[in-house]
Amino acid sequence: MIEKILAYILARCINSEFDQTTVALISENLKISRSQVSVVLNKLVKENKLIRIESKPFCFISVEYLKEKSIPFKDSVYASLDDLLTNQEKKDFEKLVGMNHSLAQTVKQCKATISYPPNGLPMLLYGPTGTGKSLIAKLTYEWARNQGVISKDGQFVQVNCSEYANNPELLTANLFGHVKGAFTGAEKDNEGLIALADNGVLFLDEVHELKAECQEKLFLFMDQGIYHRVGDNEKWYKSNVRIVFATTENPDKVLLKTLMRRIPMTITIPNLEQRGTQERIELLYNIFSQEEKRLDCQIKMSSKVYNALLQSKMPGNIGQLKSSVQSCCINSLFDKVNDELVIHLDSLPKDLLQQVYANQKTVLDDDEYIYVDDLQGYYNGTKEILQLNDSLLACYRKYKEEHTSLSDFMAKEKNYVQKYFDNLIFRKKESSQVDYYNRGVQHIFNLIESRYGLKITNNETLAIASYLDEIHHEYHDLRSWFLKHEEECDDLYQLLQEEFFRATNVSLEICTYLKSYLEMDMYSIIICTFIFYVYNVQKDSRLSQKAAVVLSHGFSTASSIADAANRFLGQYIFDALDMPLYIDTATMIEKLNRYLDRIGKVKELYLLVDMGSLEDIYKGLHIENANIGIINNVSTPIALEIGNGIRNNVEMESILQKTIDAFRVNFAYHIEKHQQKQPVILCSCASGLGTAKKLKSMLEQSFPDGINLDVKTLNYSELIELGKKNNVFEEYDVLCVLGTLDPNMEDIPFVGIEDLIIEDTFGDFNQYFKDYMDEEQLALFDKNILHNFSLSNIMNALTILNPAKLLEQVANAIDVLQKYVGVRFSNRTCFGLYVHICCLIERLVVSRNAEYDLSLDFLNEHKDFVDYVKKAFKQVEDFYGVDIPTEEMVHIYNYVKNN
Amino acid sequence: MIKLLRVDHRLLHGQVAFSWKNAVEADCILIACDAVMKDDLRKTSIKLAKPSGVKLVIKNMDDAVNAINSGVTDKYKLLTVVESIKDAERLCKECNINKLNLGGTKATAETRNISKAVNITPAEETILKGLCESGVDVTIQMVPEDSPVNVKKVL
Repeated sequence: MIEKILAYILARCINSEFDQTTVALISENLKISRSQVSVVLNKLVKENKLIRIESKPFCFISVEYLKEKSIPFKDSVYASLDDLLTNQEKKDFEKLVGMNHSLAQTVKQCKATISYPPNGLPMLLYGPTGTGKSLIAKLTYEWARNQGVISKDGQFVQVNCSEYANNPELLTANLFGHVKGAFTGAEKDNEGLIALADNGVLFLDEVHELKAECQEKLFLFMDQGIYHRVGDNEKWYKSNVRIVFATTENPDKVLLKTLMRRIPMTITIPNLEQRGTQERIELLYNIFSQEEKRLDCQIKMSSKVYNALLQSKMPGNIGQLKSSVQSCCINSLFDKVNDELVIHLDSLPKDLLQQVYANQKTVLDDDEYIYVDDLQGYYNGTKEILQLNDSLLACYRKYKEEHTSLSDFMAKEKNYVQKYFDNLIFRKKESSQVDYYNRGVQHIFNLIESRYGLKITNNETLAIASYLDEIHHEYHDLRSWFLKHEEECDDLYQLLQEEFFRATNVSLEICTYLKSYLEMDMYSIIICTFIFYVYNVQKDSRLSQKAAVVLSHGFSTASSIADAANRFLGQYIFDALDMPLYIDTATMIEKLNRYLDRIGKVKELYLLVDMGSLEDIYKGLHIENANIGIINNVSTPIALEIGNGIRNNVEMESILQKTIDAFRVNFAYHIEKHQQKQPVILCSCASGLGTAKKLKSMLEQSFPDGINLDVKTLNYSELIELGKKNNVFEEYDVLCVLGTLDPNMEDIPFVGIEDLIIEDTFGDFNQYFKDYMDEEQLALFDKNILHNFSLSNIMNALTILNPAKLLEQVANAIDVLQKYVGVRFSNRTCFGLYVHICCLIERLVVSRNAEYDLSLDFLNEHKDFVDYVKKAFKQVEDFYGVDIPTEEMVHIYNYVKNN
Repeated sequence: MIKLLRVDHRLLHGQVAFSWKNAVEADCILIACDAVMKDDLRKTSIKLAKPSGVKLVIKNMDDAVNAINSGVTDKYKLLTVVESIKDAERLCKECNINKLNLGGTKATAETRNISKAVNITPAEETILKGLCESGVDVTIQMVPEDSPVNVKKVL
């Protein structure tokens, strides 16, 4: 058992399913009682074979697993899994900020190059000063050592070539070593740095300072691994060294072609700007927390300082960031109060301070302070913009799988976007970049506002500007995220396009402007984000199913009317199609159709035209399942009247009628009803809604699989009173009314319940369903109805036996009996027999000892029939332990005879 | 006139429909039951069980009592079916009926089995005793082919 449990936990750990190792789950999976599992687990913890994580509930980690993964641990009990794992010293590349983000590619390249078999390849790190080339070289070495790529005794040897810029001979001597007396001052043999770096890594920094004399010797070494010490041209020395070069200058310009040829891998390190905001915050945190440790105090800074450190241009990159932070700390050192160091604007280094003042008219350093520890919250985990995207997609996936309602889905998505934007405003970065975006966004939204009547507050423009800034900063990550999820994003976009054409239209327009203004690629996920955002602002989903378009001749007549109306209404209701003066109807319809294709699904389309025959227009339209209301002589007041009606969700016909009444001018409207209503069966029973509901559920249970006909119920009195004015006729296509009493309605057929049950394939009823079921399905439906109706009867009559089961058995027996007798029983006979025999069986079960008379005459006369019944009901008799007495056979015979 | 007053918890079904109609030569079947009036599905199943050649009338208890007492039913040879012994008692008392046929009552936890198809609660037993005392001839007979059993023998 102990082995079994250990093996189970190890297996779970290897799969990283750490939460699966609870007592409950182990007990369940291994079928060992919980108490036993607990005892064994506690014993194993004491024996140092397991580590207990005191989360809720406790789980257990295999020590064998930790050793295998060389995850160090000190205790046998940890409060949480994170405690165990984060307690770890970070190893090699883990120390690198951005190793999973902006530097992911860099790290991958470094690893591949250093471990390239058999001895690695030389590589060149290229990047501006202060970007971390030395650190990356060092970490590459550490990684290689940790991975066993190079042996443990291999060293990391760093040489800065610029130090020897004026003395190349010294560099050569230091690198390759020299013998005693090789030059003045060479008082003893020196084995050189290359020998020192044997089995390790030699890092040649500022390699563009490496003079040609030195390079030649290096080439030989790089090519063959052998060299002479300075002053000894006889003896060959050997060393196995992996060389990492670094330069801040463009290698193609400053390095000899012969050197470049020998370096197969050039790895470019991004500068600080390219690293993105979140990484910059992480860097800031790391630097500041080092200073906190050094000064043994807590540091907080004003948000202006924070912004300056975050936003300022730093040609010196991380190096400059670090020195800026340090100089801030030094400058504020004497303001330290009670172990708390406060950094104000005036502590910033001069160059940063100048940037701050250059960007802002007035600078007041009086707002809130940010603690260094709080910075952690700003960068931890995935970048926010990617988090947002992930949430949006996750929500979309959930919507697709669980078929939740569209409005719920939109509300959730809206919420994600809103929260994200709120967060952006809260963090309010101030930078010239954001200012630039802000101006652009304001301009764009002014255009959008006049077009679509969409209002937006200053805070909202700021949020959008910050969003754009984020897109710009996290462009690398965003791009790779998008490429990974492109298909899904496009699916989501497709859905939104179909369902919310207004929001889509607005967002598309915003994105088109942004694209030309900012020259950014607008990925579909960005458009989706805007759709959710715009949908948010518009707050009106009732409009989504209606489209209204002004169609007019003239350069911008239609646009002007639509713009004016939208503005007056304060809402985006109208689209406009401007038609050239001499356009023929066909071209006009083509234009209109292109518009219709773009807006996707709508239920109502309002066409406001200036002149022309109404019929000519709606006849050629590509629109399905929608009512088209078309009115001519359009003007701004008419558009306003209609827009107002649409906004208030007034029904199409009365909007158009009212408009005509209000203006008393000579114009016409026409409604073309295209909207397909969903077919339903309406149940309405004189005895009340209760029966109708029973009937409804009986029907629903009887539909064969895959048939999704809807069944509605209606009070009989309402049906009689209001007739077709009942809502249900407005909303649905009522196939027939099903009930007990015929409501005598024009052109709505009535089917009585008994007809439904008695008639095989229900005669009339059949024709109402032929569009929805094929013959086979109809037959099954018929059978199910009979079955379910019988069942509802039997339920009332039986007390002891399970009606559903009994009915099924009896129905089977009767099917068999029909075959023996060679007669097909009518539904009425089947129904009678089902109920009768089910009741009979229960009666027999209840009063087992009752005596029955033998009807010998009948037995003799109908020997065959008795045999058939006996055979057909053998299973039922056996199952319930009863015998159908002969006198009961007579009744069954009578049913069949009367068939 | 009422040819037969019968208690059957299933009201009208094959047995009653075919055999009793013929046995008493009824031309009209009166179902007196409050519950059925509120349940179109049950009504439908009763209609389905109606044999050809008879009129079927379904009424609630009040209407049934009124109809019988008003004399409009006198021209028919009535087969009257009620759901429960309690309903039967009411008809016996209010319409002066002195013969009652027990066809079938549902078995429940409180009932006692007194014949193949008849199960009665203690309360119903009291009612039946009362009916017998007041001179009503109560017999148990599921179908006409069975020989009738006077209920006094099993109470």
